[in-house]
Amino acid sequence: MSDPNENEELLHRLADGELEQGVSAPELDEVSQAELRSIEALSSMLKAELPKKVEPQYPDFFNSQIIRRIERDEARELHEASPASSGSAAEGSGSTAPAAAGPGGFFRWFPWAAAATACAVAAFLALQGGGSAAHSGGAVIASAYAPASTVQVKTWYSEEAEATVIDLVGLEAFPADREISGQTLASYPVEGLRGSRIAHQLSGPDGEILMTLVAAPGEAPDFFGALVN
Amino acid sequence: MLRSSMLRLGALALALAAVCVSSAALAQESSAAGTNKESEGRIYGALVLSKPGEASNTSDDSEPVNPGTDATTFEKMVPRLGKAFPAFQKFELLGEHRQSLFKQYETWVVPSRDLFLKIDSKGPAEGGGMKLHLQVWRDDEVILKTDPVLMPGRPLFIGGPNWRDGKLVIVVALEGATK
Repeated sequence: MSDPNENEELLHRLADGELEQGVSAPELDEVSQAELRSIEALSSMLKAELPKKVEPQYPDFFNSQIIRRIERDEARELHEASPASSGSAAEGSGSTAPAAAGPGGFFRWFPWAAAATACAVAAFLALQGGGSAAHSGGAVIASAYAPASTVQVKTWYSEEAEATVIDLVGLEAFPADREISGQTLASYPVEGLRGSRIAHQLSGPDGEILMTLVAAPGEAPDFFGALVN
Repeated sequence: MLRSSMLRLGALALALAAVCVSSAALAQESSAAGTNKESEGRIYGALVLSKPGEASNTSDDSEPVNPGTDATTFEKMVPRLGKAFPAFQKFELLGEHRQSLFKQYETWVVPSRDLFLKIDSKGPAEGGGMKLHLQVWRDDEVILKTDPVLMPGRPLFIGGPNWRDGKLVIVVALEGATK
């Protein structure tokens, strides 16, 4: 009895009509005939559903890439054979970029140019002392942000005033009938029985001390009641 | 081919190293001098009412308080305020507050309960400056968040809301460093 695998292969070859010339179809038993009919039915269904031939997209692209690779290999062989020869070695040297990239030399010098640029930037930043000083000698504003969307923040350094200016444009004005009161405070750390504290000294217009409030570090002076949480 | 590939890899590695160095330079912060000290300096904050008109060093309505050092500080600020805000030439001191700047705690500078400052020290900066996180509060809300680096002798002027016929301006400076 024949090997089951050989029998299956024979059936497939029969179904596909791939028997060698001169070889007659063997006699098949009922099981094999049933299997052959099943294989033929499946084959017919697949042939009906699938196209006979599928062309790759952009076939010319693949062809051109193959030709480029062949030319590059040939050029490399020529270059290796005669290293003293002059002329463009750029053609076909190293680049696998698409056709639109142009001569392969671009990809030879680009990494070096990127490295040199990065080194220059690093040296510049290192000389700057690690900070993006927006103004020489003046206060530096790393960021300024107004939570209200209607408020615009403008920052600049005034050379004449020798000061950094932040102007909040669009803030709602204080009502005219509101009394904006100021105070004169001087705060300094003190050591108390419960450790470090901050003494806030409120002075009057004549300089006299009106009130001294001692609070923990980080607490807002609360001369006028609760200010913020 | 191998040589050219190695050369390109080396160039790219060099570029990457340079980027790392620049990142380290940007992220580098000088260590705080005297880390054992709680106070890192003193901040001067003032609330000033700026009005248009003829230039004057003192207000019409109030005399500078503590005529010793406070008046000197404010009077020295006035010409600079005039240059920073050319539209205003009269400046009236409403209130001022001197406050030690703490490394570990937030600092409240309250020249007025209407407009005041919350300051967090982020350590010293080069040139004797101070890196801060500063918030301006109006009543019970924040109207500005900023991260300035205050330099000695270089105050920060913050233009605030209008009030009556003028504009409220907050002055922030390192204490004892005004010109």
